[in-house]
Amino acid sequence: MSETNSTADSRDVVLRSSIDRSLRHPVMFFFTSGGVWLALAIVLGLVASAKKHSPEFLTCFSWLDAGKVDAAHMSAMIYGWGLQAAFGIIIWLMARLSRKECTAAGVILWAGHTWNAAVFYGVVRIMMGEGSGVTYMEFPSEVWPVLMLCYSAITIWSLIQFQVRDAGHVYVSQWYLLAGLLWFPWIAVTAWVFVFLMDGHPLMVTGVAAWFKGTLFSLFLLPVALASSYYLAPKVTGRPVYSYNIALFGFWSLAVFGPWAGMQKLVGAPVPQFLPYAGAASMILILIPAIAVGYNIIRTVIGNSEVVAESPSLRFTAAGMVLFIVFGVLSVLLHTVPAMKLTQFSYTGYGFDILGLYGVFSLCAFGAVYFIVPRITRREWLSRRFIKWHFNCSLYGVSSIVLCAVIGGVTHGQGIEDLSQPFGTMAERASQFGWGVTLAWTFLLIANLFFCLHLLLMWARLGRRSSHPTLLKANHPENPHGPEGEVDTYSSASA
Amino acid sequence: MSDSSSSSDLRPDLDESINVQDAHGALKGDPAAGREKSVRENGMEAVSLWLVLISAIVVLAAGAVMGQGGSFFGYGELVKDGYMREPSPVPQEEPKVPIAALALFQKEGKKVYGTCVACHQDSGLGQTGQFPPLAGSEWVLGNTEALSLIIHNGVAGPIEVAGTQYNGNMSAFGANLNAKELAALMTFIRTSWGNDASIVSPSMAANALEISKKRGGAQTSAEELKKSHDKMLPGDILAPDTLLDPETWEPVAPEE
Repeated sequence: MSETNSTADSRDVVLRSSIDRSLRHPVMFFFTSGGVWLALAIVLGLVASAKKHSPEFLTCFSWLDAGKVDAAHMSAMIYGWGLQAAFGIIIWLMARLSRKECTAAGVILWAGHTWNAAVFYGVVRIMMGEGSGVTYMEFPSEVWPVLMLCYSAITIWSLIQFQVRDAGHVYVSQWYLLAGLLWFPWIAVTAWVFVFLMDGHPLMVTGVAAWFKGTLFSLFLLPVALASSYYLAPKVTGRPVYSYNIALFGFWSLAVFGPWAGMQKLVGAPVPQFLPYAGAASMILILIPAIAVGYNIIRTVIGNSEVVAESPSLRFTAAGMVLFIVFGVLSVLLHTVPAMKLTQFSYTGYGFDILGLYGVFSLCAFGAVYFIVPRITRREWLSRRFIKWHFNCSLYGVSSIVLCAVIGGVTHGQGIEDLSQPFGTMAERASQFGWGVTLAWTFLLIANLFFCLHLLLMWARLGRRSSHPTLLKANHPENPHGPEGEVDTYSSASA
Repeated sequence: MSDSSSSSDLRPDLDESINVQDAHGALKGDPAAGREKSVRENGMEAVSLWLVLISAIVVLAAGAVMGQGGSFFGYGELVKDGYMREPSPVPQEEPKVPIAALALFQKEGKKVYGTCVACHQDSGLGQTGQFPPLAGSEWVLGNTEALSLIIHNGVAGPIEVAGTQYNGNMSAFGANLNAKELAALMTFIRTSWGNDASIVSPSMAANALEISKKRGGAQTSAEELKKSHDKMLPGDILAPDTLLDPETWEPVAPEE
């Protein structure tokens, strides 16, 4: 290695670590508060799910009524965890990829605190029965302008960093980040104007809310998850992304099909007939970016099965990509014309949402958290067992969701359609799947108690001070965190 | 980094490889940033044929769904034809279980009574001074041959019903009635509104039709009825709780 190269290397390392340091407070704040919101959302999800098959559960608390707790659960999951995790990933990844330190950490941190206060206020209002009642936009109307101002204050710096970056290659992750950053204000402002400001027809409100629900995933959370995967897979394995062309193909197919998603929820409602069918077609077409991106990422990491198994970030990311393909295949099956009748009012729709939110987005976000946190805290993760528990219980939980809600929900839908049977028979038959969903949330709760505790310990700066990363090795002859010197063998493996 | 002459500026995220010792030297206490690998230039594999093929199949599937959604941007079409639910497949006709004679005759008789209701009323009380009552009428509760002739041939002239004198004109309704309907109607009026007389069986009604046929079609009068028809109709006697087939009205053996 030449002298100049070596100097450049160490200069790069200094730049990297100064970027990390400039962002350590806001990113850590977003991840930690997101982790706490996720744990809370899962507890609420457990209660909401239990109430579906055992309606007498916790009836003594009126603020935990089925309608309130369900709305609070999804709101905490999306705005508490989903968007905050996305903010942490966006601001860190954009700074790293644009090679610019963040100069507005204080503003971001303030906006983050305001965001949390607004989400907390919104969840409390929902629990008091004063939510808006609009799917995925359950917070009362005054919360939304605050959230949008916070969003601008948090993400504007990433756009500026991209704008003032040193000229050169725009990396795949940056496409997704930039697109997601610009798409979110479009869908959020449109939905807010049509739902809360304009005194429109209730059917229009329902349609716009359904579109917001579909696009929030396909145009914001999903692009952020894919940006993180496109960064982590080559970063951790040290190999280039398998194909630039497939990456382009995957990005533009999502950009073209994504905005149509959502209205399929309204099939059979008296809205213009082509709208729900266009939504269903776009959900079927989601399989194209799913296969393109999933294949691209998996081809990038394949052959390095040891690295995939040992690196927490890569293990979560790879699992997220496999589940993205599963999501795409199920999406095709569930949005065909005969299937839509069975999925519209059954457990399937909910299970499919959770598969997207948890199985695809959250697993990729966990991968990013496991990668980013040691860098910004300059401490290593404390326990590989915590990470393993988090991973395994997450997979059990998502599998139970897929089996009980997505697939079991189809038979639930058949029960709803079978008019020769009384409604009670169907409800009784569906309750077994309800128990399955509750079991799934129990798995996810265990997983996220480990995750949340681990993250809080890292936040309290109690992580390991070591030059060796926490890898998920099966056996540890000398040191529970792997033998010394693994950094060298690790990097030479990719040479 | 503008003063750096290396090509690292062109790469998205830093270097080819890291000299770990140097990096650690430069960065005491920040090992994580130091051990990172770079994100390298992207591979340039072409979009493979099977990916294009799978995408084509997916596009076809999506097109099939779109095709069923009516015309694109057709804002006039609101609800897809045939999307409304089929009527409930629960069978509408009643099960053919045996039914007690009294209940069956009352039910069927009530339908036939629809013809009489305009004058004799739902309550069976008629209209004071104009149409005689059926409830408590000695003509209804009394001998069935006279009753059958009143219904079948009609009655004209003065007639005393339940202590009141009437002078009406009831037309003949016999042409439209078969034996079963006549039996059901007579049973209905004899057992409703507090009336408590015996059942008229279909075979009695058949005999009534015979008698009326022999007598001829003219309207009867109270006088004639009192003189020559003041008796019960001949025929099989039916107990009120005999189980009948609701289709054929034949008695069925009670199930064990």
